Amino acid sequence: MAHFSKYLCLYIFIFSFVFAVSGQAQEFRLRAHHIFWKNQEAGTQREIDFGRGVSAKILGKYPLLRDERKVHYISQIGTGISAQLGRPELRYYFGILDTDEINAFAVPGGYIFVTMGALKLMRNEAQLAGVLAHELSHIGQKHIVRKLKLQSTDRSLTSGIAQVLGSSTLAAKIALERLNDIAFKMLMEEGLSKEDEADADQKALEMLITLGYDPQSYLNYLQSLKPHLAQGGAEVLSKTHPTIEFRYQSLSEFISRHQLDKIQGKKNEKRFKKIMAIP
Amino acid sequence: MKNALKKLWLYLSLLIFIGFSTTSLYADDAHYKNILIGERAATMGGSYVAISDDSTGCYYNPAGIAYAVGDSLSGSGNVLHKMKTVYTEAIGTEDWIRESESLVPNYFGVLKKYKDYSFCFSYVVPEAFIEHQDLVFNNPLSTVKKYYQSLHSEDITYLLGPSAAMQFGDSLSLGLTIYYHYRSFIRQYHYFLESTDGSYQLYYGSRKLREDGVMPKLGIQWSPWSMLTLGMAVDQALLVNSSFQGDASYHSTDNSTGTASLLTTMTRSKSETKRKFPLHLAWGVSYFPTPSLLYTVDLDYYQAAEKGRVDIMNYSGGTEYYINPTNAIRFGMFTNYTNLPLPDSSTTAPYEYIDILGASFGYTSYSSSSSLTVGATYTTGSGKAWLYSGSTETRNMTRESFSLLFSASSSL
Repeated sequence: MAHFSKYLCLYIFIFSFVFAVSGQAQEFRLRAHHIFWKNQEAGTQREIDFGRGVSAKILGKYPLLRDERKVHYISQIGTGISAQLGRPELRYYFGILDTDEINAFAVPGGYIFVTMGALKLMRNEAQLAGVLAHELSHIGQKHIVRKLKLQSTDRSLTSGIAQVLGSSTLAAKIALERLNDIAFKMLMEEGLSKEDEADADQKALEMLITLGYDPQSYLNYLQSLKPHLAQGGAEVLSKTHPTIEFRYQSLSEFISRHQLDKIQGKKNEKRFKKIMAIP
Repeated sequence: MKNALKKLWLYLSLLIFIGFSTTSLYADDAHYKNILIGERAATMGGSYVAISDDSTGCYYNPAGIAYAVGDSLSGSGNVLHKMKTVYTEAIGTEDWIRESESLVPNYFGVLKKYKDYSFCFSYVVPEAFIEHQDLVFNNPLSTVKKYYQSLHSEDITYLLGPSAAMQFGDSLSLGLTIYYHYRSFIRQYHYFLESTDGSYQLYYGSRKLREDGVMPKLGIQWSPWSMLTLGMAVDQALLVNSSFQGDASYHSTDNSTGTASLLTTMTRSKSETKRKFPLHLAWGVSYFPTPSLLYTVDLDYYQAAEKGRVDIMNYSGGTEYYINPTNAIRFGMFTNYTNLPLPDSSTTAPYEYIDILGASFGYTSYSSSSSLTVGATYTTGSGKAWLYSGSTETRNMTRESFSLLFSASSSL
């Protein structure tokens, strides 16, 4: 046994070197969590890349407001809310679209846009926070990502779209452009499902309460949208958010059921009006 | 009858004491796998030679760290390590129970990758034995009024050092760890015996030992086929310093002749004899059928380097299964055989012959950049003990241990 052990080391060493070149790459050693988190990271990058393309299309339709004070203000409010989303891997960007259209958009990858028309309709900071929280919830819950199947967390389930986003071939670039069009159409015309909208409303309300904002203000904002929808002053909004009445009712019931109407949070009306230059 | 009882009592107490005081300086140098190291490794029965692809690999097989996924920092500790040894009817009809308990952080490692090279620095506690025992007997015999015995023992071995590994192509890697070996041992023993005639005996003994040395460990890993890895590691600790000092003081009075006489002795002994460690060869095979499942088996061969020891082979095996990508469970079994030769009719105390079997289980939760593992190890074994100095009389003995493991890793 002593003799055997003395030379075994040498035998294995030589044997291994001789056959090393015929060996196998070591990807099989990657465990499920390695693959999962690698895919997650890749998925996040795909989402960001995709979001950039869709944002570019939105900015092609609406000009970006060049008012640093206003943009800085909504960025501060939005960044504070985004800390509660549980998606620290994303960096959030907030912009104001210079249009009287009343709407707000959440683009995958962390891009949030609010129109000047919507800001003019708002009466206080709690309402702004509510709208931003609602849009951020769409990103947090990956509503668009899931609807377009942009992500896959399992190698075996990787969708064709996710593969397209990860590829740099000409065909993939064309496919990506097509995908951006679909997303843009979804944001501008089709909208998300009423379940996703109601879900985003509830999440928004929870975040408002956590941050100490007045939850009723957000409900009031939804209420204030109704006449504009009826008068056709919010053409895109009426297409993309055809469920305002449904959302209002759902949120009212939610507030009533959980006795949230008794919560009186901050509104910061004065600051909001000052920055937004509303008389 | 009275004299017979007295003799019996003195025989037992004295011989247990003598057995204790002359027993090995080492807490359990008859077994090599008393504590399992690491998070994945420990929860798979310590079977890790063909895996070793994280910082724990520095201890099991440094070649494996070449395949680590990114830089990492990890640490683990046995939140609770309890061991209980029971010698059946060792004190008359009573069992003698020895218990040890320790809470020792037993692993810390930081791993850094650079191209085809991996570097690691690790700290390992492969042996930790802390025992404290107080025994009090009031009027155990008609001639003995009180007997009190107290023992405190700490025996901890530390390994500390750097590792480096290099990949040769896709399938072969070599690695080397050079550990500084440091061992600290202290034992303090005290007893007091008071007779009914007023005479008494008082003993205090103290022993301490320090060892310094190096333990190089060379490893190789190879993947001859996809989903299969083979590993081998060889190590042997070499001492450069060993200093032992034993002190004892004995104080007694004797009233048996009607005139009190006093006896006091003090002794000191020193030694610099360096013990020899076995050559350790470890082989491992791991099979990775899917990203969610793996099986691994190790053989650990120890070639005895000292007289009174024999070569042994320990076996271990384990499996890892991911319930989902962020939650994994593991299970393993292992042997921890004694390196003492089979006893025969000439075997005398102190001697313990016990083979141990163990099982481990663990759960790990993964996040994007860290992991948290909780696990447990249970070992059990039964054998024979020669307790009474100079006697061939044996007692049955059982040993059980339980460890709770807690580990955390984070990518850098």
